[in-house]
Amino acid sequence: MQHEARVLIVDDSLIMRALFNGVLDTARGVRVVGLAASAAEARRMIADVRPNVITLDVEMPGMNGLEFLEEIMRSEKPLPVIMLSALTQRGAETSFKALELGAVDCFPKPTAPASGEFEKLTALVRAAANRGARPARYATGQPTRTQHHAPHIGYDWNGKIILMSTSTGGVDAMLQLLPSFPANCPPTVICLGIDPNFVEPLLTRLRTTCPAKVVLAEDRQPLRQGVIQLVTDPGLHAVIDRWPDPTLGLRRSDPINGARPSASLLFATAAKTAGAHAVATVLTGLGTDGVAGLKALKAAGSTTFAQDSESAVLDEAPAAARAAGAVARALPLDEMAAALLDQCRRVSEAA
Amino acid sequence: MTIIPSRIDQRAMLALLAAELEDARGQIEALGGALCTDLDLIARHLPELQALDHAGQRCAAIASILRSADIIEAVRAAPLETIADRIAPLG
Repeated sequence: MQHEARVLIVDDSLIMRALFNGVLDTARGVRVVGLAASAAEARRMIADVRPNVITLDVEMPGMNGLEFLEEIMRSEKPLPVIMLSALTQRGAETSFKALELGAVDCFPKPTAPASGEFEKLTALVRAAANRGARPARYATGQPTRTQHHAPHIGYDWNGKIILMSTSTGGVDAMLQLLPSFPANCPPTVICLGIDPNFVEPLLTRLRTTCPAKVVLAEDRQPLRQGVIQLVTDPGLHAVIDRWPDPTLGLRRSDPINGARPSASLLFATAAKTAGAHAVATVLTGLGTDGVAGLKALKAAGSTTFAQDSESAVLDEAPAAARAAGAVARALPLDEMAAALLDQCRRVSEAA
Repeated sequence: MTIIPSRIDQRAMLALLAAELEDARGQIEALGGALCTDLDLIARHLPELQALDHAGQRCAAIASILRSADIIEAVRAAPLETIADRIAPLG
């Protein structure tokens, strides 16, 4: 059963407070329990009105949104925070920083009516207030148990490919997971449903932290050992074209169940072409994209994982995968890299 | 016609102008806040409401600049890109 989302809106603009109050308070399963114009006011209201989710403006006078976000994340029981920001170029960098600090997601303030953006925001608020929404761990200073690099020295690839999907919380997941992939990692394709403004800063960060080569997916690119391809273009789907010698194809077609790129399509084409030669996982995210494709992969004999509810920033997509029986094993994020890589490791006969 | 005291110094004048802009921001925000209680109006006029919000932010940002000790530096550090962009061509 879903709990009611009790939202505290923190924004220095009275108009924005009124606007988001009007939109959220009339949404099913959402109640606005407070409106704060500053971090100081919000701090007082958190104790008084006990919200279970906060929307926070990135740029506020006095203590700005990022500083207040850091304060919330340092508290004993951090509340899920959704950042609202104007996505200018400078805003995108600030928003990316917010994701690193632990925001569940950064949401651009909608600029056009009837764009469905408000519906997305209310869905995110509901999901964040319910189970699974937890602060990202990458930049909160919490140690992870990710096996960084050492177990993968002399990594011997068995020919399988790795496929992943993630959306909300995906930036944090990528920053934690991918540095563990060795320079000669299996060919890896990741369907990444994040705001396009976050792609460039994420890519820059990953290129400095990952031993493997991280690239944006391009049409007709062969899947190569040591290369991680990120599928991010919201106008294109990605498919695995053939087997053996698989290539990644990009296709311009309608969204599938609201998703483009669709992880389900990527996984389903891999089930058809690669059969049992894939290892796939659904990581933190909103919605159910990836679930149907993961089932197809499992049926084809591939090993399938999903992130567990404890470690997912947003558990909706992994929970749907687990509930659908599409998952052989649910794993915390800090065990995911090792599990994926082990499935693609050649096991010596002596072992 | 309003008579401006001849002995008022520049800093006091800038503070007066800043106060005027802050009042204007308050009025703009009150109007926007009232309009945002109507969901149909939000749906029909979202860009206009956001423009109203932006106008209020510009008033606040300029008021803050006028109150600062170093106006040029305050303009450079202005939180609104529109203001920073305007002075960028001036070097």
